[in-house]
Amino acid sequence: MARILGLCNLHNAPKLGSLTENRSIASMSFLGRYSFIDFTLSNFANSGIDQMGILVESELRSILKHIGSGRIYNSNTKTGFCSVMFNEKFSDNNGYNNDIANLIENHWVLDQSNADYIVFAPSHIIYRFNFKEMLDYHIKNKAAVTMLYYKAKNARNSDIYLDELELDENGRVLTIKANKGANESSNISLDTYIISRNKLEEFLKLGQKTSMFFTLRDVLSYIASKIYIYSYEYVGYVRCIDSIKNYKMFSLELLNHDVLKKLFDVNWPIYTLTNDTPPAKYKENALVKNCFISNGAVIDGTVINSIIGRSVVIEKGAVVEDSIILTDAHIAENVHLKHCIIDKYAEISLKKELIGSENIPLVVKERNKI
Amino acid sequence: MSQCEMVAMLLAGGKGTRLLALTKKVAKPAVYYGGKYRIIDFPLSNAAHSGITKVGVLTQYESVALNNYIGNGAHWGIDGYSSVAGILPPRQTEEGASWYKGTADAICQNIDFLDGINPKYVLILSGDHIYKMNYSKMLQYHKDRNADLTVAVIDVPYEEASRFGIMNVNEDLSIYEFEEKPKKPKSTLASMGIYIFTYKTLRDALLKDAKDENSEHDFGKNIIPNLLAKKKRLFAYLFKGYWKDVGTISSLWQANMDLLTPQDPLNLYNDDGFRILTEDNRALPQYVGSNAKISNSIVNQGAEVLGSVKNSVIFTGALIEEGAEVSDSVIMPGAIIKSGAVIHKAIVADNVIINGSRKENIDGKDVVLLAK
Repeated sequence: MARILGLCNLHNAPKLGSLTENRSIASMSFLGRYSFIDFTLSNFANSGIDQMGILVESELRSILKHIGSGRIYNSNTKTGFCSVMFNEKFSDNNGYNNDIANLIENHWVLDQSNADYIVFAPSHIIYRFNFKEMLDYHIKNKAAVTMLYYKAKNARNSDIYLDELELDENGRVLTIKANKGANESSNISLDTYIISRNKLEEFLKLGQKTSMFFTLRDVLSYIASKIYIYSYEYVGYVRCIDSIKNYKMFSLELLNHDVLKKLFDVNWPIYTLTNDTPPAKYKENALVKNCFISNGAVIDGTVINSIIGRSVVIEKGAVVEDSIILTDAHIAENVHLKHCIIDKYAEISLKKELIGSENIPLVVKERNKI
Repeated sequence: MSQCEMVAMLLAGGKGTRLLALTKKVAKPAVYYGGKYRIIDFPLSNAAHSGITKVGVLTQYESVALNNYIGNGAHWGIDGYSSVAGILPPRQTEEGASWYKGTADAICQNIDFLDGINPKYVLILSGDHIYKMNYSKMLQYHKDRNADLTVAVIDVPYEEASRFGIMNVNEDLSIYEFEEKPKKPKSTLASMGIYIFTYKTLRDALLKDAKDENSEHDFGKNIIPNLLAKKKRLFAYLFKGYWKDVGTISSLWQANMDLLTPQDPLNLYNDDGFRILTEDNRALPQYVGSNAKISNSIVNQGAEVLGSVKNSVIFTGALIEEGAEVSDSVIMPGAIIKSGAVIHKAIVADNVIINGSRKENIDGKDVVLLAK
């Protein structure tokens, strides 16, 4: 059986203002219960990939805190592993701190896994995908590289952060270019690829030789005309978390049961860190409609169309609408929030009204007291 | 051999007959409680927070679910470098095979396990009580008095005292007499079934008791009176706080309802450094629907509330459909209350489906159990 290594690539992830000041998207809270990286690593795990690495660009602390030993994602905690790969040498040098340099610095993970194929997947794009199908396709074709994409219908206004793939009639990738919103429908790259091991070693050398700034994506784009890059279409729910607006929108849309079913499946569990927090408590005056509520939350106010994180307190008379409240935040009596994202440990008590908008949610930073 | 300070032996073999269908397939310690827990989470979390790293769990009745749940002790962090989480069902030996004949016999049959650990003290726990307690304080108390046995007691109302095993004590809390369910109690200090023994005393007492053909091999009835007769040093350790023996459907229901009071008797919502540790579950976040109404309730992750829930405890995977009404009730994991159903003052067992035409216990005189 082929040996597979799954690498979650956190290089080149978008920034979401103050929300990613001290953490990467990978460890950002999602639906009050998960971090985005849980989806990538659970996709690996559920696809039978038990050897994993995480290519960390920065904000190592928040990743380590969430991942711990990584054993929550492993089916066998001895033969499997989930290694954090961090390029200390270039950690304060943005240009040089890219995925190729990281892979070279942490080459031991490739050696240890002795993998024949490496699956690269980002954490800022969420989807539910069994890599087995794509691996079979890759192996059958004896491909060097297979790239995952989806057919976007609204590429003029969405997925601007991502690449667009130009494909020929056989599905060969001809070019890889940033999506500038030129076309309504487009083949959008999901920054997810399978690369055969020997080719990857070549790409790493090529990248380093060409430019210290070259990323893996740059190498693929550079060689697309020279080698045959296969494409594989993903059909299903997919979202790229590329802005604060989209973070909020894509979180809240999952309150709709039909949308939720597209991302979650009982046979596709999402593994995450658990905290032994008690069940959520609804007090006498609680009024809650269309919300996800996390354990440990204590609610005595009104909460509508919102996501309430772990151990959040919402006091009597407070009204929270269309908002995301992260872990341990405190919303005091009679405070009114609409279209807000309240970061961890923040406390809203003095200011009685905070109103953002659909397009520009109001963000309160971690630990701020307002 | 290096010596261990204290090992905990948890008696988890009981059936809990009065819990009816709830213990048909699981032992009483595995019964669900409080929206997310099983009863055994309480003594095991207490042990973990008290710095105890070696635990033996004695199982007998319907032990499959319980054994799986205990696993390697990881739910309670009892899987560290010095940890032992031993699951100890009765077993065949050279002398033959026998079930555990009583609480003392269960420990006695596992003397090899204890000798292997070589503890100075042994903590005996029961797997069916709900409370938070720091056993390390009790151990200090035991050591300070140079005791052979310390029994945790709780002060109960006089009119209830005759339901318990009562410790009659001197002014310094040394025990001079034990009375099982006395008609005319001399004291109101009820045994909680939590004992700290100095291991040497326990070992000698168990081996002697094992040879006594008239003994019921019970700590309360045999071991304690024997130690008293031998003038050993026995002390009562007074516990102040919430403690519930959930022996019946009605007391299990009441213990769940206690969590809904503003006093929060188990301090679940204040970080007291004594969080109750439990199993991970892979459930989705808890969802509350657009037409839901929830008040004065606790609801666990993975539950879906679309209807009306009042004064209730809802477990993971439970679904309360739109148009269903649940009040003063406990809805266990995976139970579904269909649209139109009205449930009052009930415990709905796990994975039970209550169809929409059912109106249960509307007058609410007694608690009812709705099981398969």
